[in-house]
Amino acid sequence: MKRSDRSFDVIIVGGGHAGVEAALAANRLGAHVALVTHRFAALGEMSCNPAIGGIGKSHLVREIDALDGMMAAAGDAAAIHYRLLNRSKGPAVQGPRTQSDRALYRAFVQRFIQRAGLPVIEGEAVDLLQDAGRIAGVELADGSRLSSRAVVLTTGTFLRGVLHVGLRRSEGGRIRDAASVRLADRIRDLGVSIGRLKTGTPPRLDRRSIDWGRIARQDTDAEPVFLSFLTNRIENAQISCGVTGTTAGTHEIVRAGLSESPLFSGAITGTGPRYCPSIEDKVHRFADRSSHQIFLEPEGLESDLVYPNGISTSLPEATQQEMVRSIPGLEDARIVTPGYAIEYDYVDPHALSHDLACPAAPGLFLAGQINGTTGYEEAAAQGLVAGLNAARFALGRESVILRRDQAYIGVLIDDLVTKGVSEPYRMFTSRSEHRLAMRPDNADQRLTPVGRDAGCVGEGRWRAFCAKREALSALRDALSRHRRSPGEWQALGLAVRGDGVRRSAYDLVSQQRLRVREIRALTSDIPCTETVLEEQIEAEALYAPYVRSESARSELAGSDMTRVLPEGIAELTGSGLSNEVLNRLRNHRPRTLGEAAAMEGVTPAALEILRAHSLRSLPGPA
Amino acid sequence: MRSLAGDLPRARYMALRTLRDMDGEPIDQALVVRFLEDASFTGERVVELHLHGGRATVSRVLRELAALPGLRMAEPGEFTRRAVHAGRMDLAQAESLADLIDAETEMQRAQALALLNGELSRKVALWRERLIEALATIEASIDFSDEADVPETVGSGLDRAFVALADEFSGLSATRSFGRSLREGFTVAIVGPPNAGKSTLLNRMAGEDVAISSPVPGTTRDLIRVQVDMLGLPVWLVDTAGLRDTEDQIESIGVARARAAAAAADLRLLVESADARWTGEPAQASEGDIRVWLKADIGVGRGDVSVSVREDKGVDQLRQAIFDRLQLRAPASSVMATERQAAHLDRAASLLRIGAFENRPEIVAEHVRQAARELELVVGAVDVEQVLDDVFSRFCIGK
Repeated sequence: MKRSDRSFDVIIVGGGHAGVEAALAANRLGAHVALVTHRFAALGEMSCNPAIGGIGKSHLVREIDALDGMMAAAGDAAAIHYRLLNRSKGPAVQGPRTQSDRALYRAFVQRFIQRAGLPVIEGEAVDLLQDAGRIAGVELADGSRLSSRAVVLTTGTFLRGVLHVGLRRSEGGRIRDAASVRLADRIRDLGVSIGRLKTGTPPRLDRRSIDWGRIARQDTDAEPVFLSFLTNRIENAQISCGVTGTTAGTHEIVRAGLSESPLFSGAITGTGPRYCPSIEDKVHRFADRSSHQIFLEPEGLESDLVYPNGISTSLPEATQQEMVRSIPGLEDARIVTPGYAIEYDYVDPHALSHDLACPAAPGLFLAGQINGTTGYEEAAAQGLVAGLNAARFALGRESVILRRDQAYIGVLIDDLVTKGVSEPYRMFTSRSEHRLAMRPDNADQRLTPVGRDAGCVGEGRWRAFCAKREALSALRDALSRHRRSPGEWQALGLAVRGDGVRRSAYDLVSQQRLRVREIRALTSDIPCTETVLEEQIEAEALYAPYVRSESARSELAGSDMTRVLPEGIAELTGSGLSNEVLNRLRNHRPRTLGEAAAMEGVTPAALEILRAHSLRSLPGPA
Repeated sequence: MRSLAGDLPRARYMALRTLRDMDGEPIDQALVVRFLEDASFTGERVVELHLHGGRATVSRVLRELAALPGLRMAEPGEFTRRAVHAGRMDLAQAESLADLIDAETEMQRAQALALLNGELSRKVALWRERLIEALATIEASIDFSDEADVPETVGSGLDRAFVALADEFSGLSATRSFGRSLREGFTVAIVGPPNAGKSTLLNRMAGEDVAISSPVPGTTRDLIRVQVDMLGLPVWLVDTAGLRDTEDQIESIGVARARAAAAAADLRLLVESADARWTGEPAQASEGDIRVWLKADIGVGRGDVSVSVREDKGVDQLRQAIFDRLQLRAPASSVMATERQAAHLDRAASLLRIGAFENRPEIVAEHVRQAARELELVVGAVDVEQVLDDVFSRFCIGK
């Protein structure tokens, strides 16, 4: 270790997807970092389904990759099944998704951490050390103390975690791992507001006990789309997934078991995600549906575990077994680990600023599920930003903030800190108002230069990026320079409107949605490049007309939304602001009009008043 | 305020008070009302003074008020602006308030009141809800296409729904011309050969001698405009020079102006009489114009209406005929869009029509998002400071 083994610039608490990205990002900045986690062997654990990416989530993964994070590379290294979601839709909303071999994923992450020379300290952080309010380090369960200028908490579901299987409940942060209760108390003491959320996971099945002959197969894509910009080949053997579904019998069993489900008995008070419901919820809320789809996802090439995606549950074990056996192909299936629900504390992310710092304790940063999100990708994205900014804080540099019109990571964090959460937050493409401009294909073009300036993009990626950027601009230039009259295009066999307007090849890609290779086949002027580059130019051209009007609007909104609100705005009475709005302003203290606009419950009318007050601090001259 | 009026009456009760200046000298006897927060026009705490209307009284009270700390004159439209800021009315309602204050005829009043009551706002809000619903379906097909419960492609009905909705937007937008006329007045031109009695008719309809009428052909040379309340519709009645070929330079300019005014008018009264007949068909005539036979007392003839001003016959029928013809052009909808609102409605409609032809759901969604935003601008949701300035510049002072 570089300096002392007790004193660091940044300490990361937690070794999940957020913690790992945070530690690596801080490390890339050159900070002296330590990662504190229960067990080194659990680093890179995928606690829920063995998959990375998907719609919206793959946008985050590509952005993490563009900022030289690890997740995309790990996902590709462990991938045993590739599938491009929304293939039939446009490139702005497509989402590559991989299924991972859990063991390969873990191994990749652990090796990556070791190679980075990152010290990992096994132990439980139970307390935050503070010096005159500022963060000074952490105390471990064994009483030892580690000092640091910044701490990133990525405790996931461990804060006061409670596991539910049927009506049996036990404390724990994950099955077989202990919960963090003392640390949770410590966080409450900071005066931030704490809420309760829940999530769940399905039972794991023994692969050998499944009748695969009765189950439909979903094969891996013939031409996989990789997660990382730097990946260029498949690493592992590829497997198929199974597709089956619940039956009327399944629903009957679930319905009969509802009284023993903690979700319905009232034992669970935390809010679960609406878009990832348990089978109990599905049966209860969509009583008219005769079947719900289940994907059977093998957990690895060597593993005998299968993850039945779609039947997350907290019913008693015996009922789970009965339910599973009512599903076609699973009549003899054996449950290896039962499904369970977990409730945990989260910090109301209104307490955070856009760099994921917690101003209540300078030097403290939070990332991942502790901020009310769900999903590996959401966690990793926050981890990267928190680790980056914790390191910059410790090194005395300014925070780096990603904007909403720049990155899905910016949307994610802005949504969290300005709107808060009412259920576990997951990324969707519809959350972005700049969807057509912020695509998975151009994440590197949008963010790698930003990351380079911030200090978190290494030499290797930067060189690869610069080469790609040059090739892209050469192709774009060649397409734009190649101009012909309608007659000339028609002579080449293209159906171009005879309106006398000379069009470039780029115009044709944009307006007629031609493929670059179709044009290249007709003329020798267009250089031959990689398919991904051509596809990126096609995507760019496809959306160009809409992106232009979008950016005009975002400038307009930007100028207005960055207006700074005067101090004491929440104390305005007689201004026409409702008490509800005043309360929210007091609680969330937005600094700009844009932040106020993003808060839940702030009406357009209230915004008008705030705008007026941001223009003149008092109405009219005395 | 106590220094001016003594003790204030209890909230929302009107009471008589003697207003006094700094030295205790009485200025006026006034009715005073006090409004509490959230229970006034602007939502703020307000005191109203109902003065005797004399200019000296008002200016003296204003001077006294201006001397009080923290008080100043309201800017034009400031009270309404504050009401909008306080969320007590939306932008479309504020616009209609200006119309209501300016309303001079019954139809203007009814239209403005409908808007003030939020009819347009409700309509637009419903449309916006429908757009948001459609958007939700599209977004679901994008973000949840990997879920078995959501169809991978959006139902084909949406494109037709968008076109239908766009037609509704265009329909409301098309009311702008009637709406504008209703605000600014319809133009009805009296056209005909010299000495047909046009000026006499104008004077009769206006109820006063506006135009010089004489038995000498070519008396009227310039255009004469007068505003008339036509059974509730505001109408600018335009008297024009008699149409004839003439060597007189000034008269021939008048004739040219008459032709131009006739062409620009919403409706023409094509007049003639027994002693002043059209030679051939009037070139200015168009569908829906009214043929009026004047001087019915000296000879009968062909026309939609026969009028004798001298015997006071047919004038009411003519008024009714003008009203009926103009009213025919009124849109079926009870509310009418302003130019500003119509511009947003047109943009929203065109976004939806383009979106309906698009097959990429993310591009369709982009169009729908922008269309929803245009609808928000109709009633003034966010980013409306410029619009506000425009709207409030139409007010003179106070409300």
